[in-house]
Amino acid sequence: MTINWQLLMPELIIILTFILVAIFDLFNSIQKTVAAWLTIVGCAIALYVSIDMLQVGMEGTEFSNMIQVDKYSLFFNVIFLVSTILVVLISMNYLGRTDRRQGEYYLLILLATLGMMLMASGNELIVVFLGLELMSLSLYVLAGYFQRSMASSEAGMKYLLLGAFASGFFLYGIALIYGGAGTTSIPKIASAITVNATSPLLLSGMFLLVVGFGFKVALVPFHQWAPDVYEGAPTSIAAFISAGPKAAGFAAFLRIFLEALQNIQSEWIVVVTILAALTMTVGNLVAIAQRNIKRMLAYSSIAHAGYVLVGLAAANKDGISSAMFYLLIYCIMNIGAFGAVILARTEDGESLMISDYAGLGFKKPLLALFMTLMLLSLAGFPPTAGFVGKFYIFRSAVESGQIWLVIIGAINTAISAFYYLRVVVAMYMREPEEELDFHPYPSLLIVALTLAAIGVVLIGILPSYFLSPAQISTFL
Amino acid sequence: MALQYYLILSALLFTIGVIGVLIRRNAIIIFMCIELMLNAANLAFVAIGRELGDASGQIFVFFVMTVAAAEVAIGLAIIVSVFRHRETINIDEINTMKG
Repeated sequence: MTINWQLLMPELIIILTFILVAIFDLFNSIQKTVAAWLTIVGCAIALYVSIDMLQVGMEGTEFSNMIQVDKYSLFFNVIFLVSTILVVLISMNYLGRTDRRQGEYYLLILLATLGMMLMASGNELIVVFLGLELMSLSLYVLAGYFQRSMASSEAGMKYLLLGAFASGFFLYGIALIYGGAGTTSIPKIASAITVNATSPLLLSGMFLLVVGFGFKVALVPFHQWAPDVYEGAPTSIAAFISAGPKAAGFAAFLRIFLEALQNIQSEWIVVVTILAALTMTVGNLVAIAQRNIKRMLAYSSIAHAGYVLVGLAAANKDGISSAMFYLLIYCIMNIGAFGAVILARTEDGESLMISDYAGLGFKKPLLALFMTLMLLSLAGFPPTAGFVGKFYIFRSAVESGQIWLVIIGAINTAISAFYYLRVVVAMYMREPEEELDFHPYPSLLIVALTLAAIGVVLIGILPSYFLSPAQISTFL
Repeated sequence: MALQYYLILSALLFTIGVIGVLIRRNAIIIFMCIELMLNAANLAFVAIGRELGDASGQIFVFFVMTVAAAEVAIGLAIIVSVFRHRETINIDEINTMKG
């Protein structure tokens, strides 16, 4: 049996980069920033190959139908690789040059990225599970990466216990679906389900999968871990956890529920609709009460998972493509927002309280500009990318008749504007309470933020250029 | 006929695991309860695989065991690193972040 390695090029490039970084890490004489640059170059090549394969339209299955490479998985590869590159760029200044263990930081980021890519291209529930675990295990370590910091270790432990708990639900759900459908292959489940639609094994398996995914992408009421993990983890890792892994979770969520379980759509659509409404509302309302900007961004990212879930609740082709499009935008703008938080560093570390941002608009104009742009995009103001993303999500939901969900979503967008704008108001219209001594701008962080800002504005002005690849990439 | 007994046993094990995670406060016991949940899934995989005459059920168990082993290695390391800070692994006492 010959294997078409060309199909797996992006994954292979990531593995090769992983090996190279591991080898370079052995030599103490080589500067540790080499590991970061290797990671960026490897991801950039994989990104180029993915975009190229997306344009050529290369598709196929490999390893006895275990892996399905199609436009859908390639589009998600682009999302993952873009966020990994941005995260590595914001990490380099953040970690500093002195830390000796930096090599493993980038190795774990590469492994997590590989796990995400496997989740998006898994054609078999067990491959999705393995990808999920590869991603999650790397992230647990990364969340606890600052061993000397109590908060970071605590974040690592909370993420580990709740993440492993969720994996248990996910795996048991797979086992029950295996019992109900007699197979774990996604297309075969889809054809098996028409025969025995009411099997109780299948239904309970489906609900367990919802719980498992709910934990992984932080849907209310399975979101409790997210604020603590985001607050305690290194800020660059909080940016990483909030972006790629959430997109990967949704990649598998959409594929499993809309392809494998589409014939029992009537059973899960109510659950997903309620979860979407709850997630948007609770996420936004609790975000208002936050004083720490990392916790505020954590609740905001929970609310954004709710918006993406509206795309799944729409359960049509437009729903999938707008969810994909939104995830791309969300990853860029959320990493940008966390990058701006890293930019606001003082001598004592990061200034994380929203009150610390008072008066920054005139003291650090560039920082305030980036922060304002990202927050406006997260709030969904035109002409930023956040606006077009929300617009297409809500339009797809209207088309499939989920009017109430759209009304709840629109109200939530208004609520969210309040807490995002509060930071902007603090930056430009308040006097600082105490003089904080901010660090000078690190150059690479500025590069990353400029890239993110260009992305946010460009997608906002020319949405069709980015939406049409998503529209032709759905699996339905 | 026999499949039902195995599935009931595995559902019981899974429930014990879930309840254990929710009510115990020691991080290592919680971790053991999670392992119990994974093994409940393994039992279900093996039983269903045998019932269907399908070898893949058995093969999945090997993957799950590998994943569980990796999870234990990482989990215990993280728990040790928390213990070094606080001299406790009671999750009620490890709660510096709130909001």
